[in-house]
Amino acid sequence: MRKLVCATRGGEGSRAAQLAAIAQAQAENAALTFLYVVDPHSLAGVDESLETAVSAELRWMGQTLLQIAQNRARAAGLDTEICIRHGRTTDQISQFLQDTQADLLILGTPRGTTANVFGDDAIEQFAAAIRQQAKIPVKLIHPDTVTKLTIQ
Amino acid sequence: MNLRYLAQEGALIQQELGFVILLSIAALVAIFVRRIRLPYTVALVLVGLLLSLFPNLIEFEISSELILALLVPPLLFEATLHLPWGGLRRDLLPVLLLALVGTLIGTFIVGGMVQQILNIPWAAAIAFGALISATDPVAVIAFFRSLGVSKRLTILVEGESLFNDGVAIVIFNIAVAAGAASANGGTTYFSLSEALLEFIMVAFGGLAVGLVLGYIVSSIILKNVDDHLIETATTVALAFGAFLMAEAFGELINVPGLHLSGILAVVAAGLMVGNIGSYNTSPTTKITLNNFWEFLTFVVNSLVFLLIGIRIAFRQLTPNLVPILVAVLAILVSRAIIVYALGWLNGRLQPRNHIPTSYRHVMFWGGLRGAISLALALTLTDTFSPELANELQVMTFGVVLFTLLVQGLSIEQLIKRLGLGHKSPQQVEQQRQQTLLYTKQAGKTELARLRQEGILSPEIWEAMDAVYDADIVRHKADLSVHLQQFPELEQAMYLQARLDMLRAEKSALADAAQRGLVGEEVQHALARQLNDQVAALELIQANRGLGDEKE
Repeated sequence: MRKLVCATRGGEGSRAAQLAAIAQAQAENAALTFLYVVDPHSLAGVDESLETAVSAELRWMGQTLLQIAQNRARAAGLDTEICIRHGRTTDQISQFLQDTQADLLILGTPRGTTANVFGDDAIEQFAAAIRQQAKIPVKLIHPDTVTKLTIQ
Repeated sequence: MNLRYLAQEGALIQQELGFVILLSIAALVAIFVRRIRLPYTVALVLVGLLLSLFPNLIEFEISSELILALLVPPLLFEATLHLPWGGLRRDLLPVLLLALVGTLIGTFIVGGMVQQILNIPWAAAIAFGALISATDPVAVIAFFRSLGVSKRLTILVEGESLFNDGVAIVIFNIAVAAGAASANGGTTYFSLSEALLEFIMVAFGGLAVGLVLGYIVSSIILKNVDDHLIETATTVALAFGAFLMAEAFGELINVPGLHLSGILAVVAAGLMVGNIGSYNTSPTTKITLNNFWEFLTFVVNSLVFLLIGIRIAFRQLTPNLVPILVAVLAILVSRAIIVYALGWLNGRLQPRNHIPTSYRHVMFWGGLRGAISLALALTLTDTFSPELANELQVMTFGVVLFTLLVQGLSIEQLIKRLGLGHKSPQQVEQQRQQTLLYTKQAGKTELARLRQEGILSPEIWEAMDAVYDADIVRHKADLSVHLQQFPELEQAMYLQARLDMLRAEKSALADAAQRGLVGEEVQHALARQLNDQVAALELIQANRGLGDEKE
């Protein structure tokens, strides 16, 4: 049975990525896991004394976002797993993919240019880094991708 | 009907006519600014400038006591009604630093500069320094709202303005009293320690009077009377009553000569009504209260801006260009020192709650001057010689003109350049839909209350309730479609909801402590933990949009 992983953080492409992952898992009869990484260092200006609280809040948010994703899958008749990891996002996703021997990672992309510190092709660079580390293909889903789910 | 009565009647009609003309001009200005992107106060000051070209056009006289007692309280009371205590409490230290220490520093820097450069007597220079230290953010807040600037920056700017108005007026009154004593041939004895002591007593005494009266009105009348007209009338009585009671406190307790700050009493009373009283009222009362105070502020703001235009002849501005420029330079220098130095000090005192540099830039450039400064300037004629009072009034008008026209019209660009205006069209739409849902649900709750109290017949209630339900279902569906189109808004929604939950947890903890359910040590530990969580969440919120490399 193929194993799919959809990493999510609630951004612009999150819904489209989740729906695409659910549809692919249904079509291939594959197992699907939604993954969220608690990475306080990805935020600017995190004071050392606040790190614990920031991690706790990110975890809270992760649990909620994964719950939403799992409910969407359940509504489409698909049972899924959810998982939260702590650490640097790229490392943790790669590690998770290797640990679970996943076959594909699905990520959502931001709408338009990201215009952030990572530059405009940040998502491609991020995907390339994962491919290199985990040796697993990465599928990028644009926010405007429409996936119609069949409710089973 | 004797001649004297006729003369009085004639003067009254003249005043009334002047009032009607001023109000009509204000309404025309308001209609005009609806069509162009210009803050109302900026337009008003321009019209005031235009009126100053025709000094004898309108006859409208108002004494300085009436300006302070009638025009200033509504301005402050209305502003405090919308200031959330929860947000203010978090930034109470910087707000108080800016309002108390900042106003004192600003008064002396501006006073010192104009005294040294323009050779104005000390009492008049300090009075000018105090009156010009009162910031008026009405025009800035209008931009904040349209650009979606953070609540925190809004609270910092509004909170500072409210308290510094009160503090500036207290210092102004002390300086004016010193000036009056000097003018009456008294010795110009001035003791800094005595003045400081008086300042503390007057300021804190005024706050105490306002808090007590505000609490009584909020927890007794607003809680138990359900009539929007009576409740609104009570808040009017409270605003003016708090002012009068604080000012006449000495006479009330038989200590002649004792005055407390009526202005700070109004600020404290307004905070009480806005934060406790409004939760004890029905939606109908809230709407009436807001509309009434908004209207009153509109009238008062208009009167003050137009009156200063009438008092100052336009031709006086050019010969007084040097004093005006000196005053402008002085307020910019003092504002820079106050905002950056006290912002730094706040960061040292509470590193976790520092004011970001970008906020400080906006607070510096957004320190506009307006109605309070103008209203206080209008009262100068009673104390100082006509020439000196006129010079100070022209300087005040010049500063207000500069801040509103130069700073007021460029603040929008500054906010955008600093990246502090975040509201995207989809966020505006989400807000609109959420607000619609919120208001419909509030309407449904009010409907249920009317039904429960037997005011509505079951048939009418049932029919109206069904219409409300249909509306709510429709708005929920619209919101859901919108969120599907812009999933990132879900995260923003989550963050806001989580922040509200943490605040509710903090409030429950305080409640548990008050009831004695939890010991002091445990309460402090839990409160600290909750404060950290709120700070963490705000950090996450501020970082939203960064690190979008992975969805």
